[in-house]
Formats: sequence, C-alpha cells, structure tokens
Amino acid sequence: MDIQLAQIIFQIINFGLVLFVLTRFIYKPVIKLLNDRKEKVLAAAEASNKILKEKENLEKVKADVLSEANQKAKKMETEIKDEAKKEAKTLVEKSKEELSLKEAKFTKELAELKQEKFKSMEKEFKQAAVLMAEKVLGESIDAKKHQKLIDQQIDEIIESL
Amino acid sequence: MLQVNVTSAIILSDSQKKKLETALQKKYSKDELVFNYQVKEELIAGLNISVAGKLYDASLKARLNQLANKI
Repeated sequence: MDIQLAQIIFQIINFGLVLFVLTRFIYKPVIKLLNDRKEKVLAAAEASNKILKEKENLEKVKADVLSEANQKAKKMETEIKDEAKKEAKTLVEKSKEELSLKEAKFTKELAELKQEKFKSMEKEFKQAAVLMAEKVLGESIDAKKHQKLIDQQIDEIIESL
Repeated sequence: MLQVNVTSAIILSDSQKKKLETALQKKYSKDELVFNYQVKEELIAGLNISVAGKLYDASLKARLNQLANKI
C-alpha cells in the first residue's frame, strides 16, 4: 500500500474543515452555553447565599426582638407584681388603720356609755342606800340612845379640838 | 368675839351644853365665845359644831353622806 500525498493532503484539509465546523458551530456554542449556565448557577448561588444571609440576619433580628420583648415583658410583669403588692400592702395597712381607729372609737364610746350608766346607777344606788339608812336609823334611835350618842360625839369633838 | 354654831338633831341637855362650852372656852381662851344652838331633825342623829371657820361634823347625816361617797 503506497502512501499517496494527495490523499494525505485531502485528509488533512478534510480534518481541518471538520475541526473548523465543529469548533465554529458546536464547541463554541456549547462552551458559551456552559458558561452562561455557569454564570446563571453562580448568580443563583450568590442570590441564594444572599437570601440565606438575609434570613440569618432576620432570624437574628427576630431572636433579638423576641429576647428584648421577653425581657420587657418580664420587667413589666415584675413591675406590675411589685406595684400590685405595694398597693395591696397599702390597702391592707389602710384597712388595719381604719379598723383600729373604729375599734378605738367604739371602745371609747362603749367605755363612756358604761361610765355613764355606772354613774347613773351609782347615784341611784347611793340615794337609795342613804334613804334606807335614814329611814332605818331614824326609826331605831330613841331619845335615850340619842342622848348617849350625843354625849359620845361631844367627847369625840373635844378630843379632836 | 367668836361665834360658835352648834346644830343637833335633838335639843341638847344643859350638862351637854356646859361640857361643850367649857371645852371650847379652854381651846379658844383668848376669844370671847358666843354660842348659838340650833335643832335640825334632818341631821337624823348627832350634832355638828362650826367655830372659827372649822366644822366638826359628827352627825349621822354627814356619816351617811361619807358612806355614800365611799360606795
């Protein structure tokens, strides 16, 4: 089998032609397509990363806001509880004070009433006792006893002079 | 001159008056005493003597009053 130069040249030209056609119409568009897709994927990835970062930021913000809200809520709860306790304590103290004042007033009025009643009864009792004594003694002392009594009293008065 | 007021529940006998006057003259020897005798049944029994701003009250009425005050 002889080597034919013309055929070799033809094959070379033919190969070059095929290479040119493949390069021109297949390889470059494919490469371009791949590059475009690569760029799109990269852009999408970047956008995705950006969204993820934003999501993370938002979650952080959300956590901060929630934490702050919780702290505020706890603080408000504590303040409200303290305020309520303080108010309740004040009310209890005020009620006790009022009760104490009323009790003192009632006790005083009761004591005054008792005293008044006691004085009234005492006066009546004294009057009754004196009247009874006057009645009994006046009737029981006769003239002889009376003279004897006066003698004794004169002696007593003379001693006390 | 010193007034002596003697109030009794019954009339005092002369001997009682004499006894009283003698004792009072002895006590107030510097003064001339004038005796006023009075009867008040409300004294119930006994007598009282008022002299020189002092009252010697031995009447039963006074003692009952003292008793009433103590009650």
